[in-house]
Amino acid sequence: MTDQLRSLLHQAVPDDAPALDPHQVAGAARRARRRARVGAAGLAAGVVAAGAITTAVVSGGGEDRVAEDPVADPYAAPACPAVLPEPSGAATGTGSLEGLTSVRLCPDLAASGEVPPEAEQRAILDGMDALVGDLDGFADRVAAIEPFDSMRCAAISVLPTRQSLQLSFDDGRTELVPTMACSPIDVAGRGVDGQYLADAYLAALDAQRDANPTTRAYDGPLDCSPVPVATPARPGRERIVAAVGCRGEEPPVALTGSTLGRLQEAWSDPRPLQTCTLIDHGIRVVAATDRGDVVTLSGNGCQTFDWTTVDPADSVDVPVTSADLGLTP
Amino acid sequence: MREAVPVLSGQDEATGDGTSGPTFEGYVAARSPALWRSAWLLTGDRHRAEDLVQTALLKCWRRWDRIDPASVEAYVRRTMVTTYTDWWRRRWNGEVPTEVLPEAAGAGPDPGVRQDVLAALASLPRGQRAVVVLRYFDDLTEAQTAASLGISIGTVKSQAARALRTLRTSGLLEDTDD
Repeated sequence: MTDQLRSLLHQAVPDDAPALDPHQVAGAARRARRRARVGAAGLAAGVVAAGAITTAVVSGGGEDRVAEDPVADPYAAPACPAVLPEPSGAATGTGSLEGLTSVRLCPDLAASGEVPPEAEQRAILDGMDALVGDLDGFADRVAAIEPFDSMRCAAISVLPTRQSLQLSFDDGRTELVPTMACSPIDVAGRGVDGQYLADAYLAALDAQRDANPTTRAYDGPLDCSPVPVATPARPGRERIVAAVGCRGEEPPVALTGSTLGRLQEAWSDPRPLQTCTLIDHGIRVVAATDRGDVVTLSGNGCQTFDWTTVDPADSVDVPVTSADLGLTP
Repeated sequence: MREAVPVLSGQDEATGDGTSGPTFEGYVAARSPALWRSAWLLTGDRHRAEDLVQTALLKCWRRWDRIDPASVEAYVRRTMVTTYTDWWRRRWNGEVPTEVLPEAAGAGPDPGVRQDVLAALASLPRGQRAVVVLRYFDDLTEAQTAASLGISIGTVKSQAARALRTLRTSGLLEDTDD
């Protein structure tokens, strides 16, 4: 069978594999390095040094290798305020994004109508990472947002939320801008939708998590009704560090030891969404990651779990069965 | 799949004493076609394959002087597979080809085989797909595959076994005694 597989793989691969130009590849790498150093020089003035990791200095003969820039700590950016302004009283814009040193999402922990216990609030907020790298890239994403569309907003209804982005600058200022959908926010003279500001932030944070290895695990309580907080977490990257299983209205069941290990293994190796008969047994898993997220996986008709996002194209199946986790209906 | 731990040496860059590894440019010239073929099996698309190889090589360039010369190939492959498994972005989803790929009509044998192989590989989780490509296309041993992916040999065996079961069920492979 394996010989058969070898033969099929070799038959399938095109004969005309392209050869990369090695000098072009090396040149592209040097240019990428120079762009990264220019971006980090702007960051250096405002970086909080606590917990920063410095990588080795390398000097190579004949190559323009230089010291690697210190990795900023995304958990050390200024904290969100204790109270977020109501939508009616929130700022309606900010000026230029020049001089940004960090951007942090401040979630509306009471958006569902219930305020979580103090310990849970602290655990959520302390565990959230902020954008501290490639802030020029974030500014570029914001500049690319389409102008605010009042016609689109006239046709939809919006749940109010006080969720905001906190912008910190190198002159010591911090500003809060709301990210509620259909709230027009003026950024450097351009009106954009607050929701798309949040999207730009999450995309930038997603890219930062790929580049910045700093982690801080969520260590707060887990229950079956977690506070929904926007996150760029996705199967295959973050590690699951704790989880509870939930069946209907029953109390949460902690998943530990080899069970937690099976969940982490499946989370790290997702597969495309599976097509099965939709039977909702009311089983789900609420898990904490090593980046401070709390995520929810929903049981599906295939007896495994779905990780669903706003865009169905990004949704995946986490291939561990509810039976493997001891969560039979 | 876990982020791989790079194999690094603390030695200074070798200067022609017989134990130095290939130069970056020399490696790219010699190996990029082979890397592209593996990348094509992983991604199912010519342009994505080229992007994947290029991105992996750009990452490796930064650390080239510190890579153990005896482990260059494993290091580059690990970087490529890690990049591939990290590419959970919108533009990399929808990997099952629903139309005939442009290259299916071009160079190479039976386009039906190509479509069948790509569809079968797309049904595998990314980790299993990477093991299949390294073990059965690149013909790496279990130990070499484990080193390339930064996983244990036991995990390579179990991933391979699960992948073969799935490929047999998919109809791509016939049940034989081998």
